[in-house]
Amino acid sequence: MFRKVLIANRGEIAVRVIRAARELGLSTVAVYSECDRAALHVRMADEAYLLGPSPSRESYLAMDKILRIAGSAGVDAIHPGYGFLAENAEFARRCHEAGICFVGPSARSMEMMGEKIAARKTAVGVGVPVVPGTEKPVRDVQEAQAAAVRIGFPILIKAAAGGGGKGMRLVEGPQDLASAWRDAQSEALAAFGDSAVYIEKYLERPRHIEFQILADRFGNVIHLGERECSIQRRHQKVIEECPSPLMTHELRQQMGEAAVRIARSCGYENAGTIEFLMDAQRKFYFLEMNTRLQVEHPVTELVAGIDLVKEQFKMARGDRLELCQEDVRWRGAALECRICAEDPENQFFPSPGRISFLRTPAGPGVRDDSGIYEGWTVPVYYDPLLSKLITFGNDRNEAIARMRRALREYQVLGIKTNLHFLESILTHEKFITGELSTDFIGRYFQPYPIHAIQPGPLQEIAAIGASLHKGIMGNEATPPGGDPESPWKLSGRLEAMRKKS
Amino acid sequence: MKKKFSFEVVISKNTEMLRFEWNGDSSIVLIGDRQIRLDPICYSNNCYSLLIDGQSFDILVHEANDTCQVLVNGKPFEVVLRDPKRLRKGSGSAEDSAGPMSVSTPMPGKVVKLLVQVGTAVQEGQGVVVVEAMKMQNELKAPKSGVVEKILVEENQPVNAGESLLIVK
Repeated sequence: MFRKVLIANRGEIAVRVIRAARELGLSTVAVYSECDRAALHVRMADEAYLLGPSPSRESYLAMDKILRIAGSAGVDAIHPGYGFLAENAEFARRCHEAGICFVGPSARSMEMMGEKIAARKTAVGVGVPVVPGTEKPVRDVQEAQAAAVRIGFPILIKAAAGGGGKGMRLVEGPQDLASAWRDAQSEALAAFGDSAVYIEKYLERPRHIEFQILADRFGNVIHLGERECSIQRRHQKVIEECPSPLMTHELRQQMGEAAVRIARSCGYENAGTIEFLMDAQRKFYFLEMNTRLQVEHPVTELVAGIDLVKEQFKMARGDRLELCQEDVRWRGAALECRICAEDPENQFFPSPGRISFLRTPAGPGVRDDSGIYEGWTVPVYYDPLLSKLITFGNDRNEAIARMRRALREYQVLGIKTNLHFLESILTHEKFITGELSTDFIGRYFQPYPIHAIQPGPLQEIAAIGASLHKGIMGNEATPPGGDPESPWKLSGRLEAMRKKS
Repeated sequence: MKKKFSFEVVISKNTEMLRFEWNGDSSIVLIGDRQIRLDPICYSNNCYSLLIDGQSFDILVHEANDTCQVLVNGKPFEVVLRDPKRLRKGSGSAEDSAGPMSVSTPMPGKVVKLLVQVGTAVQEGQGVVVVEAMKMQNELKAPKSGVVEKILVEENQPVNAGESLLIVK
């Protein structure tokens, strides 16, 4: 039985894990870097300890420091979230050696699946097709050139240790190979400490469909259905949903069984995700397994009615799965939008800084898994994910309508966000009809227009609003200190109205 | 008692004058020869509710330098305002593309790689420097075709938003 858990992460996922732990009656320990002293996860946890300087290597990736804090705080378990140490087998092993439960699969399963080339072999071994590619890491540009010619352009260069689109590059033809090779290797080294890359055939306009699995330590493995994550930008998921608009009962059964076979073949325990690509003929190919909680897990939670993080804790402490495959029921539809600190009108450059104003949506079918608050400063050191906005509806159309409504209610000032970009995707005819593919954004939204917001009546209203603000605040048009009698002192008017009523 | 103020505003490339007036019991704005009756309240810091002819607008304003970031019913806009009474600065117009142009980073980060050297001939849109910020590597592109005149940073150097990294002539 657990009593106390350390969350070796930050941002929205640390908050999400704290919530699950608290519902289970567990005491929570946060860790943080110097720039995260005021972060939401630190404020929410029961205890919080400093790891060190802001760069990840000296904080959220520093195993020694995390294990030392875990020891002195007397925790029973460590939840790694996603990213950082979540797929680091050495960390899982060291937790185990220290007598602390790692909330996730065994180091061995992680190694079998974490190395992408070995994982492909495993899939083939249990009769699941894979995308054609190299069976070994590619060592130099010449070898890459030869492999690319054999497989046929376009190709993808991918980090062997990879995930989350890091260290991945699309190469359309031989002229781009050398620079893409260089970028992929250096990004892989920076992200995973391992520059090994391999080459895979790039499927034209595939869909990304992944299956959530859940496994206990007694050999029970079930799947909780699919998530479609075809809306991506630079290989990073942007919008995810459950169910996939193209899913049928038979296809779900077939793909779900393939996912369960792969999980069984590596002796998997805890929550994991098997990712597939699907071509236009609805043939599916194993892509990789993510041996951790996914960013987009909430859409499955809403449709399958299961709290995945709480299940992770239960599996880790040795509970038996309460569900068998036949018990799993899917109801309604859910969408998730990743809200990021980035500027869509300026090549999606990250936009860290102080959040001067924040108002989040509410109402039926809306969930905001956030790691931010008004007044907080988004640091430059970590990924730009601020929050995940999730909506649920009786069907996909209702979930879309709710998402559009909720995005409009989501208001952030002080930093740039992709909120309006998300809304424009959700308004796109092809999105509404469910004609998705991983090149959707590249095809319909690139380049994202510099002036995506059509000038017009609202632009004029914005100008009026800004003028009133500046005029009233006394910065420009009124004398210093303002004039208490001024008709433009609007808060005064508000006061007067209150008195009248 | 201040009953009037005005601003010059750039709306879709045209500069418009907005004149605000209070005429006893209601406020109006004059834009060109149009007159719009306003019912504004400020319900919290930087937050305004504006009724125009029964239409309701929820407006949030964040000032950053000369620009206001404005959300109208959740939609983002940028508004540049000028007080017409203020002395205008000299022309100070944007850099002429015939002259040297600098490549600057829009966000704080770290220079990961310089893809050119002083003297390298570059085409407009060609990647010249890679900056890492928030765990993503972003390639900055040459703003014009020409020759790299000066490099102001080194690899692995941290850089601030807006900092010039190199000059293309």
